[in-house]
Amino acid sequence: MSQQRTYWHLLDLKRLPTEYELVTSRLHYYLPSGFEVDVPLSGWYRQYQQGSPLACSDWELFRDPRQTTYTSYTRLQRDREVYVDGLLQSIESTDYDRTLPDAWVRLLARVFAPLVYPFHGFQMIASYVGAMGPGGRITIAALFQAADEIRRVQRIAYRVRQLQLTYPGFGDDRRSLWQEDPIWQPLREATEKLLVTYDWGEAFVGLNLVLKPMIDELLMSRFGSLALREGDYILKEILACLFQDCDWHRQWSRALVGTAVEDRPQNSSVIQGWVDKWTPLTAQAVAALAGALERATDGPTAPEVAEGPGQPGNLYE
Amino acid sequence: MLKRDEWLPLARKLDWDYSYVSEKDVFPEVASGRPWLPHKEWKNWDEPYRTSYTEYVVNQHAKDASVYAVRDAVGRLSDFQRLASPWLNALKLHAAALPLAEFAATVGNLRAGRFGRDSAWRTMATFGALDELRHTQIPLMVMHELVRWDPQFDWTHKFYHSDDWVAIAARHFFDELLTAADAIELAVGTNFVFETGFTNLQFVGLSALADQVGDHMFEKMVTSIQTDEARHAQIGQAVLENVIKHDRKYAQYLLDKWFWRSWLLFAIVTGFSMDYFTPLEKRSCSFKEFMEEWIVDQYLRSLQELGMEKPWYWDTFLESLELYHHMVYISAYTYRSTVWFNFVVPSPEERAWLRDRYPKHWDQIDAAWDRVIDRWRASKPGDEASVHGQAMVTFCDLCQLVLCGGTPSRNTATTLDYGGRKYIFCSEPCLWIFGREPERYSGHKELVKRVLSAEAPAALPELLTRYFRLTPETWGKDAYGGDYPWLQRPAAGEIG
Repeated sequence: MSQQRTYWHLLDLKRLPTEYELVTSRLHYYLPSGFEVDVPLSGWYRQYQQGSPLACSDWELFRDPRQTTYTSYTRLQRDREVYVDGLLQSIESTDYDRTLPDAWVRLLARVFAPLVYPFHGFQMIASYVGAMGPGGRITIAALFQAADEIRRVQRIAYRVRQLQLTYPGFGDDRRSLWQEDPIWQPLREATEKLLVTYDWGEAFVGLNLVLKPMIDELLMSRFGSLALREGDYILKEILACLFQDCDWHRQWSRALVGTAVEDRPQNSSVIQGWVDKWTPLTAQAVAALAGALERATDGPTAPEVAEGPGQPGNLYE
Repeated sequence: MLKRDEWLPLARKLDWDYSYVSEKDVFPEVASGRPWLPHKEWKNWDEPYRTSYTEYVVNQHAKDASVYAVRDAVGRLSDFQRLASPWLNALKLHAAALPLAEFAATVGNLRAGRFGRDSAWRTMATFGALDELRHTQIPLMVMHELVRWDPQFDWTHKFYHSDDWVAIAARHFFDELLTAADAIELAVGTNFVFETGFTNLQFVGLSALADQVGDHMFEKMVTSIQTDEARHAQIGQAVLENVIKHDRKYAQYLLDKWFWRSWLLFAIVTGFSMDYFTPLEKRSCSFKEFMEEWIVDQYLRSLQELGMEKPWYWDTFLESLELYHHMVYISAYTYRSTVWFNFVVPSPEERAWLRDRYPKHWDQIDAAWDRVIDRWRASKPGDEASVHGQAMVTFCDLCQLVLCGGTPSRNTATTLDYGGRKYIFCSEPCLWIFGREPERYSGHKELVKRVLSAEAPAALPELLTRYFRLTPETWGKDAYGGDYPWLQRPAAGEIG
């Protein structure tokens, strides 16, 4: 028997590692020494990962507060999916969709059905943060986030299909709305511009500290409240369950910002610079969508919808 | 509930026309790969086996639970301690090679999840990234318990963080194949060639062997992993077909490059395990026979179905099937202290078996084993240093492995002058790959050049401990210390 109780890189813990530590520590073999081969993407990594103004003496200091592993992720999400399946099933087993107000169904066609596009964009950007993340735990958190976006896209698609069965043609114009309807254009602009933002740190900040918190709040949380008011109480429950994923995206982002700022105080101004850069366009996106909700429902919640999100800076202060 | 096919189409095809940025900026060639084609050329991209997120998490959770149930039942330390000593080295070899390479595959798949050219491809790649994370985490969990029993299992994590020569070769391979591959090269090299072409080596071959030797934990792990591979490997053919349509020559190049590079890797990892680390009575066929039955025919068939040619070096490959892994094995045996697992000298019965399976060149390899055995006979059991290579060996400037092409009497090493430097290769295909994209490879220093430039220490003990990060406890030895029942030593007093 050897004296060694754990892997070489965990010996400094002076205790047995947790399951999370065991399966998420120092997984990027190419860090810190770089690639063996001078592949075309080497320069890309030098510029957008190692050259990022968001730097840390050791990104291994970051820990996902939920300590998500593959096993815990699939267990958690299986339970959530079983729950949402039950909600969707209850729609199918009743004449729920027939009882929805016409104006609400029209609003869903305009504001809910096109969501698959921006959320697929969010999925792509999260995948990018994962691929470029300078620490294995960052990669893992971003990967689960990208997977959560797939979940969100597919649940929306499922619900759209259900509505089509009652309202033929429902949502058929979702792509052209996303491409052309003025209420979607600021969000499309922000998503497209963030897609070509290749500094890993800026992509992370733009998506996870600005775009997602504001949009998720509006289109999951606030939109859910609106749904409840319009009698679409099952949609509210579905959105609330999807919002739990978004809530974790905020939690791990907050933890990552905490790690970065604690290690290197000047990261604070780097992050603030990017928050300031991405906030105006995101605010326009929120205003355009909130305006549409306000006009369509003409109710007292509309101003709240417009005012609700919009404090991205609070996330990490 | 609605059937998957009733609603999934609404979630699969989500590309839109960019107007605030250009499509070329969203999918730059350096990350998306070539040929660069507008999305309309990719819009019919299709994965034959669909899956939904819900199905994914439900099924994968169940699979994970079943792996950990097996671990609890038969994957404890005492279960591993019961396994035959040579087989444990197959386990150490795989344990080291696997988890962090799988994590590199997570990164590669995430890149494809961002830069793949169609939304359905990107989503499948993201599931692939999840799969590869699973394949990172399961072995790290399962092998951890073995570290306290045998510190060579520490290399489950340490391997890729070392500058061991095998690790240099492995990083050189996986940098290109996974970590920093563009989405198209990843799909062809990894999903099609590595995962589809060679998958049976792991899925059928290795799991059957593990079962034979009673290593049920490893068998379960490999089998469970391979059921994931089957799902995401399908990305490969769907991408390849479009590359063939638009740039057949490049498609052929990627296929031929990755078949050769993958072959060298599997020859070592699986070749060693099948022909040396599996106890003779448990072997059902040789590595070569397995390759012929499960890989070669199937790969040629799949190329034919795609209308592609077999690799230009096919005869060289068939020749290397006869003896490449034997050449590497005996070289590595001779330099066993440079790796993290142990070796065995094949017994007379095993050598007879190998001669029978590899009649073409075995006699030359066999003669080399005679010399090793003579050295052991003249040395005391456990006197590793007396039966160990001392001279510096030479490595290939492409695959970074020891120059083991050809036969002991006719090595196929070949050289190339490029940019004022001389490069050496183990084989014509390695030289050919280098020559196709020299800008990728020419700046790399193989181990000997590192020693000559004082980047790595020249004295073997320092090289092993400081550079390779081995210790006297972990560096490779003869599994029996040269003390084999069939090896008759002269009486004690006669050893000089």
